[in-house]
Amino acid sequence: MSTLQRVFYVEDEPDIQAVARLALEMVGGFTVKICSSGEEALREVVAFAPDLILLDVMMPGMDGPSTLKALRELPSMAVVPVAFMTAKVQPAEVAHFKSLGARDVIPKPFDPMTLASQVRAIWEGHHGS
Amino acid sequence: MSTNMKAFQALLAGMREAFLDELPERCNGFETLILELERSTGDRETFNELYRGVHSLKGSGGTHGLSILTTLCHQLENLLSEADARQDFGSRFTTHALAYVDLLRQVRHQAHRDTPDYSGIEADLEALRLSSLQSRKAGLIAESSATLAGFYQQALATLPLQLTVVDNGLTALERLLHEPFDFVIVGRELKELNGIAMMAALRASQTRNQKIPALLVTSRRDAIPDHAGFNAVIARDQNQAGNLVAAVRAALAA
Repeated sequence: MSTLQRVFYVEDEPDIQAVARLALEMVGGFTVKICSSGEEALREVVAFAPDLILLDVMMPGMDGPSTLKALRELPSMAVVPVAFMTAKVQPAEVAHFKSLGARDVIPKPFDPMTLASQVRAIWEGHHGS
Repeated sequence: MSTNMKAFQALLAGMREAFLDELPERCNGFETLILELERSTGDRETFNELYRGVHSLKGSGGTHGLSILTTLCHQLENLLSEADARQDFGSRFTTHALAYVDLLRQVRHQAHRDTPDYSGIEADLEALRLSSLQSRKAGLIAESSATLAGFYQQALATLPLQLTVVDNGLTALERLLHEPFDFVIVGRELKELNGIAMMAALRASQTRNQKIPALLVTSRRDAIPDHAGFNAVIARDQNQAGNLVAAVRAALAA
């Protein structure tokens, strides 16, 4: 199994972007690309070639589920693991997000100290280790 | 702890400070928009800007570990949604909205103390919530048909209720899990999650709404599973308006 290196995060809130970038880069050691909207993500994602994608659910314009659907239509993004980041984490809600094709759900607000390890665990789960 | 982690924590603490330092400016912006909403009797652009600002603060506050901000913003969002639904941005709305902003301002002061204690703010918040409700009871209508939801609202208009309408089972569940309601009216067929599954999830939850009265409105005659825990089933027939009012009265009197 290759290691997780490139993380692509779609999130519209600048404060949350800044904390997540810090957590993923400093603690996880990942290469991180952040986009502020689903539309921007669709323009940037292929060139970045992520190992894993994190999607905010509630965003103006294209929301997280719509962005996931559009990403899956890009041939190179068809199987890249995606996790939603959302405050909606009741069992029925999580089941709904997984039914849309997400690998997992990271609860918001996230803990900056453990975000990188949560992301790594999702990656490892996807690759069956 | 490694040097890297110490540096990380120091950076996080710096970002949190910067966020708290910006809080008064955000509050000033909210106050201006609230007053503008009253003056313009609900200008759409002003409303959207205010709602987006409050929603943004909710997310950012949680990320910086300030859950009190998340709670405050959530209730202010509710106040805004209700005022929008009624198109009532009068002086009563303004008074309550400004009171929420005052509580937001207090968070910065408390967060800077060595041992922050938010219990005073929480108590004021609950008093504010009750005051905005007055003696009305809060009900949620989960119904996929806008026509039927409107019909229920009309039928219940004579009771002292504050009604929230959602057309999606998942949204209904989310609101029931996170916001206080006194009762819920449920249509059987809802988008995303049907009414019975939604209620079963609520009854299995450990939330304050776990045991609230629930009324199912349905045209079907087959058995309703016990685990959904409906207190009454109202048939969709010519008597449904009267039966619904009677069932809500009975549920609230129990």
